[in-house]
Amino acid sequence: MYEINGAIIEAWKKSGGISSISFLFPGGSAIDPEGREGLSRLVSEMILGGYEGFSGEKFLRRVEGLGEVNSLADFDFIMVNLVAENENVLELIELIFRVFYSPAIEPEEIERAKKKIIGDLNAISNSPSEFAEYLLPFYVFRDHPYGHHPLGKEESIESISKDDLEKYFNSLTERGLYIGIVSPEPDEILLHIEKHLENLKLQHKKLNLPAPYYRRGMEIIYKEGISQSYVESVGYLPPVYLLNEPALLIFNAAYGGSFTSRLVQKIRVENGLTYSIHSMPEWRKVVTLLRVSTSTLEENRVIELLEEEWERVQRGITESEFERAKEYVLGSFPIKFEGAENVSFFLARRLYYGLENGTVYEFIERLRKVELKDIEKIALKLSREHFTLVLSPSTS
Amino acid sequence: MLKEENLKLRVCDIPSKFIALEKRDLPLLSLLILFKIGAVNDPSGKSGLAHFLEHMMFNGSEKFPAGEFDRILESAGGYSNAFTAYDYTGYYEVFPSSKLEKVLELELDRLNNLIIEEEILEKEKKVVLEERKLTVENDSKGLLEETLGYISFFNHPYRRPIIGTNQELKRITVWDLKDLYRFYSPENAVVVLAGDVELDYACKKLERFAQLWGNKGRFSKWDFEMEDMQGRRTAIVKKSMGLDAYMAAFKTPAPGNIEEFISLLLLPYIISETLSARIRRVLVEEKRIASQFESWYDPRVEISLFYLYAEASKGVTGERLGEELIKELNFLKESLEDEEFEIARTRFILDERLKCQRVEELAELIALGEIFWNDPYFYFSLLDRVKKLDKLRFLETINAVVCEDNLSEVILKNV
Repeated sequence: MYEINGAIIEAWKKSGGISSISFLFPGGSAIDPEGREGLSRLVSEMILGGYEGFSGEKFLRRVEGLGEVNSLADFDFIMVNLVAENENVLELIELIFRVFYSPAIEPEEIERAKKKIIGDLNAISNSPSEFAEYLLPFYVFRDHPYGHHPLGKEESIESISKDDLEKYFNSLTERGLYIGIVSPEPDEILLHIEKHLENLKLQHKKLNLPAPYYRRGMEIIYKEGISQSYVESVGYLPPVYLLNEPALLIFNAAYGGSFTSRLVQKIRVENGLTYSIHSMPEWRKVVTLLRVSTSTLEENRVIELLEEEWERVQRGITESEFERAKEYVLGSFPIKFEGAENVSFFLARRLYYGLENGTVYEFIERLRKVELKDIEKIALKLSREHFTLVLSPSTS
Repeated sequence: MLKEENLKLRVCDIPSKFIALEKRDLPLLSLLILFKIGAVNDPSGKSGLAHFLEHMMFNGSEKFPAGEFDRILESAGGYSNAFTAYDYTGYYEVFPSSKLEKVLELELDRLNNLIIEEEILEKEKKVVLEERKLTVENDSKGLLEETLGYISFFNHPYRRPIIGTNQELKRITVWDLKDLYRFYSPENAVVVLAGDVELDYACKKLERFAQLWGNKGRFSKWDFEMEDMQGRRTAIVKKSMGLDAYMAAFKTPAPGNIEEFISLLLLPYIISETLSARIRRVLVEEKRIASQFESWYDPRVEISLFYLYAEASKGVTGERLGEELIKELNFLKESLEDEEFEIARTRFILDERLKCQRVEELAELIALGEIFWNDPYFYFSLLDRVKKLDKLRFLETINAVVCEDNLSEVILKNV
């Protein structure tokens, strides 16, 4: 790990001729002002709009002639990812830093970006599983800054002004910058971005978010045009930097994160109630969600079994479940390191959430050291509260 | 490209197609067994059979009862999955290279001694019906794709859904499954072992694997008469789905002409799959008549399809969306700029090189090269061919196949 001109950087050497760089700016939808939900998403879209004097389609074509760029807003951050063949990557970095210095916040680009996001919102309303996922933060977090989806709403996106965007861009580097680099020539990339980091004048204001209220119970939303139910259920854990993260991975693999996990065996294999069910930990700065998603024709039965499993997992997992889940996570962990583009994202995100990086072998060593008692500690930290949202076929 | 990516490939000395690829950067292996049997071979009145058998392959074999396959594989740090297409069905595992012996043992047992019983069949039917609800009946794209099959082909089995219809799925019996399973033999398969393994050792292991795999006989491929169905055809589906949508498919020849194949692989990068792709930008961001737009090439052994799919913005009808989309496509054929073509080429090459970093995708590329081109090396020569393709040849090809005579379309009208 390096700290260069205020940025925290992890750089890995990886053969294969492809370089990937991820820039993570703290903030994200949690700092969207009230009534302007979706602002950080719009900012992430504007990053693809170019810089003053070179914007719009001209900019995008230049960038895409060199490689792939994407930009996204999550609850706690905006992330910009670059992937290119090694001979193109420095030029791509140059172009993207110009956007960080002086983005093109032009009316035409703002309209383009708004249309794109509203298009995404429409597409979500047309996909029941994505719609259930979109609704989840509203019901789980209510008035908390996490209580809206990063995409915002159509009316809040429409109400965002040029002024809002300028303010956000001016504060983009106020909360620091985390960078993941994966390349056959990481030193060359580090040298190249060093001078740019100096010009960015990074600050380190803390992102102060309140601890969320752990909502419990269940909400059923009726939707026309669907013929099965979509279930989203969340349990709550402390933020990931307070947890033994390797133990959390193993705990999840035993609960619903693998084919032999409890949820898959109970709900799909033993009872044939669903085509797919899975759990995954979702990191946020002030909480970790253990989220379960499934769809089913037998909503009541699935909810009943899910309730039983939430109850049961508080008591931990068995020795054999532990051994199996640990071997699974240990063996499958190198898969995370296959594609250069995934690795840079992975590294930057870990730096931001206060987790250790290291070599592939150090990751594996940390997993190897996990014992059953570590899993029991995770189970004890899992709140007794959990919340379930059901998107159900309309009866009307 | 093999050299650039530091990969070595060898076809093993076995009559069937058993292929090994060496890639030593991470301690991972992928084993892919791809049968040249797919939904196209489902008997009349039993649509969904090949896909159903794919599900049954995870429900227990003689030595490893239901759940054991995944339990053992996951305990070894691996995972498995499968896919069914019209022309083939594939099963694969990705696992730590130290567990090769165990994975081969697991595969051999389910390939030789799968348990196909009434009780398991009935439970799995529920799961497949759930899958159908999720991916077809409650999904605009799945629903339109299914309908498009019905109007694109008159009596060819490509017209039937891979997953099967509700009624025909319910009719599948233990005997249907056993009848198909007996053709899961090495003669009908392409087997690829890719990743952290030395080639001599890999071939030795695969040869032994082939010996222990009971040979059950060659699958006789049925001859289907491909009807001559030229001319634009349109269907309308009325259903409450939230928004209107539009899907089109152009019938294109089976892979055989490399320039044509490459052109159809490149086309999505020009029209929909990059941020600067022209038609996506026009429909979604400028005219704002679509909330999303995508396109893809679906190569098939007998006749392929090139798909367009768009979801309408609020207040926009599926008919209008379709008209505008086809208009933009025709305009693009007349006005494609050199820069647009070069971007597509760059992005295509980048994506292909990224695929070469993943053992699972490498194994699939090798097997598909064998299925469509009888050449496991095919995809590794693809990038050189893409670099040589010129814009004029590309446009000639696209004009010849992506045209109204080959077009079928479905409009989803939300009611």
